[in-house]
Amino acid sequence: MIVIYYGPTAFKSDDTQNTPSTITSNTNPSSQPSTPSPIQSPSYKDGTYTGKDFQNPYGDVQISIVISSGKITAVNLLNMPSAEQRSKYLTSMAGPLLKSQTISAQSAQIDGVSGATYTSQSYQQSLQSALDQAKAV
Amino acid sequence: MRNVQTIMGIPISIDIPKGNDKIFVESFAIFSEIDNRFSTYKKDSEVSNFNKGTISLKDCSDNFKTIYAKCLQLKKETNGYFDAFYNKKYDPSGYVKGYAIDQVANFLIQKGYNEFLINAGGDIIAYSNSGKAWKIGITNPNDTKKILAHLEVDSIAIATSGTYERGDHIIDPITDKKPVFFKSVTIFGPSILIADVYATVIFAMGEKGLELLLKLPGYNCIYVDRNNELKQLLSSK
Repeated sequence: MIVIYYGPTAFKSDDTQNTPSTITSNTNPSSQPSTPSPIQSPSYKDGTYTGKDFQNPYGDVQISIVISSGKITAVNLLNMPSAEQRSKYLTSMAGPLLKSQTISAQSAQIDGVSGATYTSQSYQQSLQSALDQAKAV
Repeated sequence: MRNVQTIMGIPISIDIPKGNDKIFVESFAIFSEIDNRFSTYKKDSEVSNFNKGTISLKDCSDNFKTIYAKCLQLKKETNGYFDAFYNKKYDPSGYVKGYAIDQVANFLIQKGYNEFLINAGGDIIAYSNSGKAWKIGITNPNDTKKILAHLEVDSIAIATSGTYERGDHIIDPITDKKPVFFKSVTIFGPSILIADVYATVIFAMGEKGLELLLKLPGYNCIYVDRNNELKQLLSSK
């Protein structure tokens, strides 16, 4: 199980073409699409929400979104088009999920940082170095 | 417990919560042993001797032959974008770092450790079958003191490719030009061997490189492009 945290502004409000416009809770699959939930709001109830299959030019797609502490914490692709269709679809699916969302590693209690290979010199200035010092016993 | 040593020219951080001094010594020794064999900087390494012609492939160690074969396979698999034979010199460094992390992880699992995190120059294997979740940040290429996002995960391999730390050291081996589409590419999934190689390959290829993910079920990509758009491609598996 992987959960990806992007923070509360993970979705752009005008990003309707890349994200499903109606999201329904999977605990209540029969709820009507007449109560659409724009997913940019950070104020949802916690839970896992599964979108209805939606069509795009390349096939059916279904997405589930995990909300925790009122924030979107994960987006999972449940259905994907066939590999051939998906190829054409990949770039459009790579929706802009977030802009300039930055948090400090300290505030999130990070254990390690993945980044481009650093030199010994740049390591001294790096977040990873700070974490290593904090965790060294 | 966490220890850091610089081997292969990169700081390597190993975190083993239930570790002792001995297991750290043995873990770092695996990195050193692999470095001694595969370094292109060490004059007496097997790779250096192979490049000088003082040893032929058939006389090389089994490890050497395995990695040599893997590099040939990866060159084919990536249409030449992973090229350990660029400039007619054999340089498997792009594969060996991931290989070393993988070897140490296997060693620790074999020794019965159920929680550890190995970070070699930004490439990470996190492992936990104890319920512990590791939090792994992804560096913001525009501000390396910050992270863009973090994963909370029990076990994962994750690698990031970018030019923001060491300048423009990645080139597109097909066009001989500096790739410009991405600022950073992060790949995560089950194996560091795949994640490490493909982060660099996709970075070098630019946007069309993302299609390689189609052949890598179980692997996910988070990237920042030159317009500072942060995007993700999650595997359907």
